[in-house]
Order: sequence, then structure tokens, then C-alpha cells
Amino acid sequence: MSSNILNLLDTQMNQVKDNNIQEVELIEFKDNFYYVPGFGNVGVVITDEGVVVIDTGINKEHAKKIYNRIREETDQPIRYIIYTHGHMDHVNSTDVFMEEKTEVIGHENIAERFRKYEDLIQHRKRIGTIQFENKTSAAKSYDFVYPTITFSKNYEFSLGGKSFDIVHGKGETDDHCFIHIKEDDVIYCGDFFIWAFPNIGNPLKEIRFEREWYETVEGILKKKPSYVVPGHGALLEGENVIQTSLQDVVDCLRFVHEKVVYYLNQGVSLEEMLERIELPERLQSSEYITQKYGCLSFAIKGTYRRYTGWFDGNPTNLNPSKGSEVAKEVLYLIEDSNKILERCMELATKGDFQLALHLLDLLILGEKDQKALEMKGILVEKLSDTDENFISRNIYRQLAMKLKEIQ
Amino acid sequence: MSIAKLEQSMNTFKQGTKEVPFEKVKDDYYFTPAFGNVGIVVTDEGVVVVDSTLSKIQAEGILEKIKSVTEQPVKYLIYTHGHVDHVGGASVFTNEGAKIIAHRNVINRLDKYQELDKFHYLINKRQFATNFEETRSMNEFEYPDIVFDQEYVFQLGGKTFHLIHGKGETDDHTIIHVPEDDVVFTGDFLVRSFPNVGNPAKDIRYAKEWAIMMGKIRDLHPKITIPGHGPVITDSAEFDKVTIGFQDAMTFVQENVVHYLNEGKSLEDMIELIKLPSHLKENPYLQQFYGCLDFAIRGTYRRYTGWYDGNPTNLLPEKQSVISQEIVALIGDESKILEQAQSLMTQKRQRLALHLVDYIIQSNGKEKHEALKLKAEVLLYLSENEENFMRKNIYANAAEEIKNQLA
Repeated sequence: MSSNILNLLDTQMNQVKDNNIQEVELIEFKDNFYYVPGFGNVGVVITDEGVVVIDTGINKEHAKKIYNRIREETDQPIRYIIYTHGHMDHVNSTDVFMEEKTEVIGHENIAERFRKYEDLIQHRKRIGTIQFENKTSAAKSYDFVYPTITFSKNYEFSLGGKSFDIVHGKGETDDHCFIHIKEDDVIYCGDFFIWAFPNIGNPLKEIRFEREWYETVEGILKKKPSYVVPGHGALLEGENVIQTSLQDVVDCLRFVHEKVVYYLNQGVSLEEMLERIELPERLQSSEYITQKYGCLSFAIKGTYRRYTGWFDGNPTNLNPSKGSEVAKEVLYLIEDSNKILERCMELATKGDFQLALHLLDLLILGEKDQKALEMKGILVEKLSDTDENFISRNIYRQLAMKLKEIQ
Repeated sequence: MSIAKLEQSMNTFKQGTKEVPFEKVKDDYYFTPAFGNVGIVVTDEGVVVVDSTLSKIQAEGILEKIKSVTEQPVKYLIYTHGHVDHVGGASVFTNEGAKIIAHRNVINRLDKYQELDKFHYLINKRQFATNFEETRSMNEFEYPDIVFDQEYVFQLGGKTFHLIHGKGETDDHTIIHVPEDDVVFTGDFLVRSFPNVGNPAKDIRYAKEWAIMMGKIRDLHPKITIPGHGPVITDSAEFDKVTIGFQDAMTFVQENVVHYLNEGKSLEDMIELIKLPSHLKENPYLQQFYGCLDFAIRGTYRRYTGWYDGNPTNLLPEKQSVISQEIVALIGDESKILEQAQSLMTQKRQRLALHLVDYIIQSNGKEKHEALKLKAEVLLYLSENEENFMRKNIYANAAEEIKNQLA
């Protein structure tokens, strides 16, 4: 699973794009407990008083097949849909499962999230395009089904002899929960576990919650489940696997939290933190938290950002001049812009694409130089070729394409 | 209210005397204006105190005044939110047996302050030009005994205390309505300056919800409004002017930032494009000496975005020192940079000059000493000519740090 998570993410993303989903795989891992792997796993619990669906996935075509597949198993009505959180890949296909008496349960902050997505629809589409290479955009419908039952801390209900205990905790979002079905030792944990380094510092998204994340996962561990269904990727089964995998998530998040807090108290800058903080070897080699989606540097940046403001501590940047103005001054002092391009070529030949980009930006910001823009496109593409992180690779790819379009 | 009054308020805190004003607002209601106002409600079943100000000594003075007007014990202390200037004196009241009531998120905030105590001394020293470390005010907190999520109601001596949660300056804010007497305690939903919804060094704040709470406060039609900072409002025309002003200002910021995010505009462009309409600019209650429009835009932009600014160069940037070395090498002559910085200063382009001297400082150049001297000089100039309290302090504090470094 871990070694090819980048491939898996790519495959899933392409499926979402092509609407070309293979047959639905409704996996029954324990009597009456199911999940369907997808871009956003969908959980299904069948009781003799009705069906509970946990998350609805991003792709409606896929969801329709899941619905039909449920109907092959049972005639029971869909009584509840539970949102583990309000991210698009968990809520987009809800309408497919809605029947006359279906209640939708979600944390009280989900409604505010949906309103935010509606308010910021163009912005969200733009950043979605960048993060997922424009492959998930068409699937996202922005026709949210708001929760009909909401809760602050937790919510419990029984159905067909099973009791569902829904427990709120912040983590990837402020509206997250996990669902514990005690009698059967099953937990559906949403994105508290995703077979990758926790995505706690997404470059394009708002603040996330590293401390509450590990505290909630500790809460999951205390319940000693025998099965944990994650929001993405395969089922966790058996005491050893669950203990090890979840503990790795706890340890890496606690590590990031404690390091960032320590260095903030020391007055150390973000730049220095990124240089000094190294993941302990045991966590580096864990197959459960490979850095193909979330990664350590994102996590440090996100956590740092959570506890600080927009001002970086350098008074120059309190009320800064525009980037173009600064660049113009520098160009004026350098006098000959060819010197910059030559230096960039030299750096690029040495493989130092990143430093070259900073210099090219002077020309682009200062005098909208076409040659610099062209070279930037090439260098950004080169960065995308070797980047093994799904998110940063997609950002580079997408922007390299855009830079080519401009020319 | 003005910078001078704010400074005076900080000085009173520093002098730390028990001599506090204790104004009778109406029967049973008293008020101490301080750095962090304190409200007092006397009933014949006990006293309710709203907030406890920053200074313990001042809180002791307030307790003495309370004892001079009633024999009733202080039963409850309500936190309008968890900022230190509202919870600092709490132990004075809990020692008398008072129970603390607050929003649930106050707990997390106090945990955070303790964990990040040194960091908060550092940023507050910059913001207030005051060293709070001497008073150890960041690590002796009284935690709430009773917490709530959305609303909390209790009766005491024939008065109803209706606590309503909302987000604004913080995520743990509460207003208190006593319907029998038409009194509302607003905490920092009302202060005497442009709402501080994007503090340079602090975490995320909430413009949208701030505007919503203004609507709720207006719907309560209070005869007496007691804010977290600044004088009591009893005049209905004044009430309208303040509350409508705050509501409009927050709605204006929210709508404009959302609009330009959807348009794909950069933060830099937004700062240039968004201009406060004249009726808000001229509203005496929205003067920008504490919070200001620029901070509000940056804060609101930050709330809805990630740490990445959209330029692929800045996704995994090179260290600033390395970039600066490259630029200084391309310019070739550090004294040329210093000359240009000086020339910018004579053209009153001080902020731009800061960017230039930073290249020398960050690259650790030969002229670093001169560059630092120049930077301190520019910062002092900016501080002296600055009308915003926080910017003024941040510039002055940075200038002083550089001088200490050079000495």
C-alpha cells in the first residue's frame, strides 16, 4: 500500500476525472459491516431496521453504483447518512443516497463549511484544480446536502440493535468525528487515518489541528477497536496493525506539535525550524505515514501558521512594498538584466532550479520579462518531474502548464 | 480613545495600584474601566463579575470596592473570552469562592498560552511595547468551572444571565444579556477602534461571525452596553453608530476579501483595491489606531487560504540568506545598495529602503553593520510617523533590538 500510494492517488484521481469507475467493490469485513474503497471511502452498515451510510464519496456515478450494490444486499431503507467531516470527497454524492426518511448527521461546523464553499466557489474550484490537476473539478457539484441532525461534542443513536457513538474531534478539519459501533468493535475514522503522513498543513487550505488530531486518535486507540475503516485506503484489521498504525500517527503529530512549540518559544524562525526539525528514523520508515500526500515540511508550516499571525517578525514585512516595486529597485541596481538570465542558466545547469526561480521572479515581477517567464515554465516543470509528493508535484505541474499557456 | 489613552491604560497596568475607578452605571451595576474593563452585577443572592482585567492588583482593588457596596459574596466570574487582559485577575475572585463560567474553547486557549508562554511574551512585547514577562501573567490561569458551547442561562437574585457564544476577535467569545435590566456586556465585540480582526502576530480571527454577532446585539436593544474596552454606552444614537459601524465594517471586509479571492486576486492587489467607504472611514468609533483595514484584509485573506501564495517559486523556497547573497552578488557592490536606500529615504520611500538593506543584512555582507544602522534609523522614522498603535510599537521595538545588537 505505502510504496505505491502516489500511484494509487493518481489512479483514483483519474477515475474521478474519467467517470470511468471500475465495478464497485462492497467489502464485507464483518457481518453487516462494509466499506467501498474510493476517492473518499464509503462505509455501509446494514441492520434489520435500516442502513447507515458513512460518507458519500466525490463521484456521483460511483455513488449510484454503490447505492445499487446496497440494494442487491438489502431492501432496508437508508436511515442515516453520517458525515465524518465536510470535505468534498466525503459529502459530494449524498443526494444519491437520500430517501424519504433519511437523516443526515454531521458536526455543527459542517454547515458553516458548506456555506464557505458556496461563498468561495470560484476560489475553491481554482485551488482544487491546482491540488488535483483539474481532474476532480468536474465531479464536484457544490449542491450540498446539509446535515439534518447536528451535534457539538458527540451524538448517539441505536438502530437494529447496534449503537452508534459519534465522537467529535478536530484534526484535518474542525468538523471531524469518528463513529464507534461498540458491540462490534468497529470504528469508521474518516481522515484521522489516511495511509499517509497526516495532511496537516495543506499549502492551499486553511488552518488544521495537529494537537487535537493526535488526542482524538489516542481516543480511538483507547476504544480498542478490532476494525478501523479509514477515510482513504484499505481497512485496518487486528490489534497489532491498528495499534502500530494509529500510534505512528499519534507520535508523528505529537512530534511536530512539540517541536514547533519548542522552537516558537525559543524565538526560532520558520525557515530555521524547517532546517532543524527531522523526523525520528522510526517514523521516517513507517509504512503508515509516508510523505506522499501530507509531509513533514507542510506539517511544520501549517502548525507554525496556526500559532502565529501573518507578520513574520521582520519589520520590513509589516507594511511591505509591492513585490514589483522591490524587484524594480533590484533590477535598477543590477543594471543589466542579461546578467540575471545568464546567472539563471548557470544555476539551472547546476540543477539549482529553485534558486534560479527566485532570480527569474525579479525579472518577471519587475519588467514582465518574457524570456524569464518562459524559463520559469521550464524549471517548474522540471521540479514537477522529480517531486514525489502528490500535492507539490500537482502544484508544479499545473502551474508549469499555465505558464506555457501565457506565452 | 486614541493611542495616548491606550498607552495611558498600559501604564496604569504597569504601575499596578489598587486605586481603581469604580463607576455606578445604575442600581446593581458597576463598572471599572481598565486594560480589560470589568463589569459587576450585584444581586441579593450574590455578585456576578464579568471579566477580571489583566492586573491582579487592580482586581484586588475592584474586590475591595465590591465589598464596600455589598456584603454578598462573588458567586460567578464570567469570561467574555480567554485573552489575558480579561482573565488575568481571576484568582482574586476564585479565592473568594467564585465559580468561573466560559465558552468551552477558553480551555484550549489557556492551555495554548501556557504551552507557548515565552512566545507570547515575545509577541506581546512587540505589540504593546510592554514586558509582560515581569508580571508572569501568561502562566497562572484560572480555568473555567462551567463551560458551554452555544448558550448558557442562569438565574441569580431575580436576574437572568443569558450567555451567548459567538466568534469575533476570538473563537471563545461570549456576550452576556440581562433582560430584566436591558444590559449587555459585549466583551471585545465592541472596542473603541477598528475591529482588530487580523492582528499581525496572532492566530485567525472571524470577521463574518463578528458582523453576525453585531446583528444579535442590536436585536437585543440594550439600554446599557458595557464593552470590553472603552466607556459604557447609554446613548441610543451612540449605540447605533458603534454597532452599525462595526457590523458594516466587518461585512465590508468579509465581502470584499471573498469577492477578490473568487476573482483570483493576490493579497497584494487586495490591499491596493479595497478602500473603506467614507462613512466607515469617518466613523469616530472605527478609527484605525489599534485594529485597521490593512490588518483586517490580511487576517481575513489568511483565514481562507493556506501558507502557499500561488507562486510556485514560493512552494519550497530557498533560504532567504542564499537568495540575498545571489542578489547582492549580481548588484556587485554593497555600497551602491546603501546609497540607493539613502536616496529612497530622502524621497520618503522608507518602506522600500527596508527591502534593500535587508539584502545586505540577510546575506551577512561586509556592510551589514551600516545596513543595520540604516535599518534602525528607518524603523525609528516609521515608528514616529505611524498612527497605528501596533505598527508603531512593532517598528520601535525592532529598532531597539537592532540598536542592542549593534551595541
